[in-house]
Amino acid sequence: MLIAFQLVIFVVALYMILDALNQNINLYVTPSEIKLNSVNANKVFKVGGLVKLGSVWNKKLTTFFTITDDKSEFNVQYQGVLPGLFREGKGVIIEGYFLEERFIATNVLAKHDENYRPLGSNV
Amino acid sequence: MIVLIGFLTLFFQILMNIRVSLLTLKKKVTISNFNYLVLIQFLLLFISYLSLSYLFLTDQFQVAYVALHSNTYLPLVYKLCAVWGGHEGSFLLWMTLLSLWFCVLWFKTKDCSDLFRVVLARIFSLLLCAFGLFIFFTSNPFLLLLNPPTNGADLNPLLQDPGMVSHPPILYMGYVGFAAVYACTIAGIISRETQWLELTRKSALIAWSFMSIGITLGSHWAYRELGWGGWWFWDPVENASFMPWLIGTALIHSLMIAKSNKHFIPWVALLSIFGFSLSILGTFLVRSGVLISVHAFATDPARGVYLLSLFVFSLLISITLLVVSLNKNKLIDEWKFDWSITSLLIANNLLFIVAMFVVLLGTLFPMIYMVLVSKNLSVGPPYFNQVLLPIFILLMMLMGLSIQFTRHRSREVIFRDLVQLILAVFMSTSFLLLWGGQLKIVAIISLAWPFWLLIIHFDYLKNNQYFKWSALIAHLGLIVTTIGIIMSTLYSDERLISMKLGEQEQIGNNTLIWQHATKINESNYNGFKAWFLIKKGDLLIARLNPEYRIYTTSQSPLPHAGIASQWWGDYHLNIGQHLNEGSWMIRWQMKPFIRFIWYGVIMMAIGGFIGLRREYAK
Repeated sequence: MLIAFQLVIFVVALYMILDALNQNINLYVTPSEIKLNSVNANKVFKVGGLVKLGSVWNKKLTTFFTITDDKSEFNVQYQGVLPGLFREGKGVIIEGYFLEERFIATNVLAKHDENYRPLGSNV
Repeated sequence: MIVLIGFLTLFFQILMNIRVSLLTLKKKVTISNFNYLVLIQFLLLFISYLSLSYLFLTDQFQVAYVALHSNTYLPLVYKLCAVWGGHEGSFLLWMTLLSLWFCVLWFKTKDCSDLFRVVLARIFSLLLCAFGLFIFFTSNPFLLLLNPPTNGADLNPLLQDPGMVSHPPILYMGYVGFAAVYACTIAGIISRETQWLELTRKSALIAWSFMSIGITLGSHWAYRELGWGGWWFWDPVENASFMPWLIGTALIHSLMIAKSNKHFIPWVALLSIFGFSLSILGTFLVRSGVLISVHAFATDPARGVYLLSLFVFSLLISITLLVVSLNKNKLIDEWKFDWSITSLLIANNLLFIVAMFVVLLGTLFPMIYMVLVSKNLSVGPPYFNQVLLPIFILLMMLMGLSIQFTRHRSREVIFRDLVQLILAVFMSTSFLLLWGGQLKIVAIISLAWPFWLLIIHFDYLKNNQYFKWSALIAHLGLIVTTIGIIMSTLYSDERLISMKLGEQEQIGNNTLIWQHATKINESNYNGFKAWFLIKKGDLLIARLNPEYRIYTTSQSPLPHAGIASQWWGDYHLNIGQHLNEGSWMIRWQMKPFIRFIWYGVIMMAIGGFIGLRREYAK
């Protein structure tokens, strides 16, 4: 009886942990991988790519830019402070979700090497 | 010349430790013959470390490691810190600290049995050999360049911060301390030395306290420079230090009981092994290049493979040793939960271990997934918050209950408990009113927790029999930290503003004014410094000086936050990107009681240091 009780607690706790893990897994993808799969609107993605040359502009506090991997691209919208190393043509990782063809970024990270220089200029 | 000295001392240190690891006692060889060997191996490493520092100070760019991590423009203090600014040097520091621990423990165990000291010396010198060979073959800081550059590549601008002076060495003291805890435990179990529990307890307290301070310094550094006002990010490297800390916390609690209850000894041993293995795993995570973060220096698979094998090897050997040298553990078999202190402590330990595994799962899952499916993913911070929150609430309940039971020794004072709970709710409400914040139900309920614990600890103050200053101060630290976490989570405010020089902006009751800007010309960076004022009506509340820095050698911009502290919290101001026609994106944040988080952890560490002296009842 006691053992059964302990087992139930264990299973429930394990289920809760794994469920929390499953809900918070962010797949890291490239722009072309996104087009292949049909996009789930509520899913959080981490997308790695390059900021397209000449695509950055802003309206009030919102920044708009295009992320590309040279095969495929989409538009991104972000309201917030960009990292210091965010530059056109350089590598970037964005975190966020899709809302009607537009990617709403909640977080923007610049890719950099171990000496804090921007990455991705030669791709 | 200096390069040669540094290299040779490193080499001889390895030989010396091979000699120590082979030490056996014969008729003519007594234990005191090894005093010199132990001292010399430390001095050799120390000289090696000093020569690397000297190479940095004198800008010897023919040394590859110096050329990669330093620069003539770097201020003096950062040249000294640049020694641990990269993989090779930070490993040398790691080893020097390990060797220091060895030296101190060796001379502190003079009245222990010979067998204990021999085993202790062997474990330490084997570890020093393993890490020495690792440095020697995969990460030698003394390698020379054929064509030395005229100037170095510079230290990563993110690391050019006062935090660089204290955070790495103090955290390493903690990491390395877990090796000492492990050595004491294993030597104690093999030799059946009576004093080993006390030695393990002291090492564990020192390691744990250093680790707490190291983690806090890192968290505060991230708050100032990286985190845009956040203080914990569930970054794998943070997790790597958090896991041994959790195990260390469990360990210092179970060591309190282990002296009187011998059933706890295998448990202590297991926790020591876990703590040590997790610090090796942490080193692997940080140093192998499996992670991309500010902490990851270089990518070299050979290093990763070496460290991972060391991790698996040490874990396997010690677990086998534990199983062989100890009888069947009766602790769990005979344990029935009976609301005694022992039971509550076992529950405390189990919860800490569960918390550790939760963090471990979230940290390693992306890497395991990468190896198996070769697809990249990351585990979001909500996972950790969601799972760990109930565990920590349970832990705080246990803490309250166990303190309660040292006083009453019974469960029959429900009325008294009820009064305490009501008092706690009253206190949390008046705290919020006093601060002048909006009364939120969730804030009143969550704050009632730390205040309930505070009341219980005041009750504990009156208790003569079980009183310990160390526990009291450490627990008060946890209460302070909890208040900081709750308040800064529930009451933080954040605005994005587009502002020009000379403009002002209304934020709630406050007015933010951008007065002027001045040029900065430092040796390692330039840019501008902005002068902001926060006013409430005509009353000046704070001055803030965020900076926009561009580091000279890498030409990387790195904004530097302006922070103004009030007694109740911080204003945090960041300059973001240039928008258009002279307006800049400004990020304004208000972080109430965020400092309490770090102050509390410092209190915990002070409690840990106080625990070092032998404590008697008041």
